[in-house]
Amino acid sequence: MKSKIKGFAGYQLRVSLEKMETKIEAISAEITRKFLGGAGYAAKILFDESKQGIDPLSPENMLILSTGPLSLNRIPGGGSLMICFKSPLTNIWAESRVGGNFSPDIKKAGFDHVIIEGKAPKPIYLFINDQKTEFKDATHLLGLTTSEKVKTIQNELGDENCSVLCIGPAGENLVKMSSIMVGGRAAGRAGGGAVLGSKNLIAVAVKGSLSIEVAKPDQLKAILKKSFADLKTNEMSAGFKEFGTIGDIPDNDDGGDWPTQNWRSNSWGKGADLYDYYEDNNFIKGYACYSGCPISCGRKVHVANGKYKTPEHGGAEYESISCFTAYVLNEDMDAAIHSTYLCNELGIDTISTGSVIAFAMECFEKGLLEKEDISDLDISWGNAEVLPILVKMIANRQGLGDILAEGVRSAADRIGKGSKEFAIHVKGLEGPAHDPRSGKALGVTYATGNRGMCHIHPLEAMAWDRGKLDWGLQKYGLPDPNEVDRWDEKGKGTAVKLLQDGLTLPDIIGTCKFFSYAGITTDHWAEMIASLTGWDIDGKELLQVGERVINLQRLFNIREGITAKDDILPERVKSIPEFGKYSKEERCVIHDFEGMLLEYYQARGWDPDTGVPSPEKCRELGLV
Amino acid sequence: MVKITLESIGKLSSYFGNENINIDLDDEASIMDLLSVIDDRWGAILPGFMWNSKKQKFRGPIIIAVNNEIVRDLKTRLKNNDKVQIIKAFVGG
Repeated sequence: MKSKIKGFAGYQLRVSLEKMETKIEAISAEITRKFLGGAGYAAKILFDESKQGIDPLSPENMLILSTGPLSLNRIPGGGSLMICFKSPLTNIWAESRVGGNFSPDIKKAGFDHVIIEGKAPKPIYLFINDQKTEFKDATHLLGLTTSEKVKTIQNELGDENCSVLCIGPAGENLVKMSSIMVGGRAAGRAGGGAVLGSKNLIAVAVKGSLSIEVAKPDQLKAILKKSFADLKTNEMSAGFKEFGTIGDIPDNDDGGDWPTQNWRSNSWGKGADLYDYYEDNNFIKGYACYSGCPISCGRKVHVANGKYKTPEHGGAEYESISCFTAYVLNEDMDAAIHSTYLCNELGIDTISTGSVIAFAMECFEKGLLEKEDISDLDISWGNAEVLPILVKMIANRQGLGDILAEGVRSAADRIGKGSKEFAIHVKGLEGPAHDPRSGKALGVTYATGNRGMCHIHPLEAMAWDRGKLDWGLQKYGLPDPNEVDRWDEKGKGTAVKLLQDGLTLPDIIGTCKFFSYAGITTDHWAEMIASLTGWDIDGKELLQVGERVINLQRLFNIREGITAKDDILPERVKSIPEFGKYSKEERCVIHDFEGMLLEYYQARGWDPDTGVPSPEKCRELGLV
Repeated sequence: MVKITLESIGKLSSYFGNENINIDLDDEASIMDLLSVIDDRWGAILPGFMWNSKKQKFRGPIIIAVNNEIVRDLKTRLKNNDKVQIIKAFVGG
């Protein structure tokens, strides 16, 4: 079936698991122009079609696999999939991004989005092939690791190149921080694995041979030629390729952007040594997560020998390794590599898992854990041996693992005894490995991120404040980062509004955010979309789409009970570090968080008391 | 003798003392030879997050470019009047 919208497959697949039926629907031209795709289109569907207050693990929840107009192999960063749902971890809006060929392959199979509803009567997986679908029994897949599931499915389909998305045992066990794995990469955050597990949908496989009609192919070709040439000489692109994301550990440790020991500090002083060990012993080679990526930030790593022996796999990401080293004071890189490998194989988020383990270690230090929950485990800070044990206990919901599997907010509720004081999260999502005490703008984005304390939409705040990047947004009003003091609080709330609008775009248009860091600006993205679709669209309109989507996600959250009282930062994250390089650095303290938040609300056009988007703002954005 | 200019900007230049520094190297010197000179002259003062004295190389995420072309092979030979740029990238995920 031919698409009515150039640049798009033109169709969405609606999967009704209750009836084991699929239906092909044309996508709405109006919604597509206003929300484009990815986290934007999915926000519109979830807001309009899901009921208020539903249990995220009930059949009523929806999970949407969403591509954007640029989710094509030939586009820089086009191997990018958004998975959107109401989170069982936070009970609010959730989006989780993953790289790989799955997203361009959905397009080739003839769909822009796959909307999954209901619950299958038995464990199944879905096979999508050139707009044809087939449900297949998945009973034999239960209990297998994620890589075992992928191999089994590819064997059954007779195609080892078929893209497969699946959950691990943790998703089957409804672990609230369970991930969805795609070819060794993780859509880790907010518990999408549990949502699929609750639906008895164990995996989705996709292949296709269809093509997308391009409105102005010569124009697109010229833009892409220039973009790829520019990427070859861009230092950020080279940095990602040369070092991967883990390459930032030494600098972030030194710069006070490395949360340590459950956020007691923002530096440790061991980052450089840990990185050197990894480079000498664990690193094998760089790799691309999707075909055609010129950056190739992925790292193939292993542990060759010893008690943490681990096969070659894609891993050692900055966030994952930080959460299994600095967070828990672990100095054994082999143990960290092994633990994050286990997380991916069992299907749990490395960030949330490292975070809840750090929380458990602090509980253990304070004597707050019950003997019946921990048996004779030594959960002391820095005990490397206990890390993989706890990962398995969480994935399998055993003992203390069953408490931690609910996330740090629920675990603190259950354990009590003052543990809420050091349960580090915002809106229920555990914090990632960047620290707003050394770049204050990040504090605003952590507090206001629509999925909670996430590492994607706040990341650019730190990259602007401390990293001095601007992504071409100065022409739209972003202050010159070289004239901004990272310790200042004034002006940060206003800047964050524009940073969020601009840097949420990759997750709407279907590209990898790292290409924005590597010199592809909002204006470049707009040129690509214009040539693909034939639309008259520019950077300014794209920024308004970003603003519209952030406001719609906010309205979704307000509908689910979020208020201004939830836009907070944990006290520890605002306080002077207890040890490390910055323990005497008073400028780390966040003095007037409320002032920064008020500035942000005003920049957004939200009610200063309630944080609700004003009727005028909703009208301006076409949300009424 | 090969005369090159070592260029660094912003915070990095504060460690070298100047944004542009002229350095004389032996004929047919490579980037590795330049790194050895860097270690001799600045190794003791460059901070650990950016300089690995044991390996005489920059730690991530610092990129080396020669005349605005990013260079990965440290055996790359340097020519007279080459500008060697030391650039700090941002790669955290």
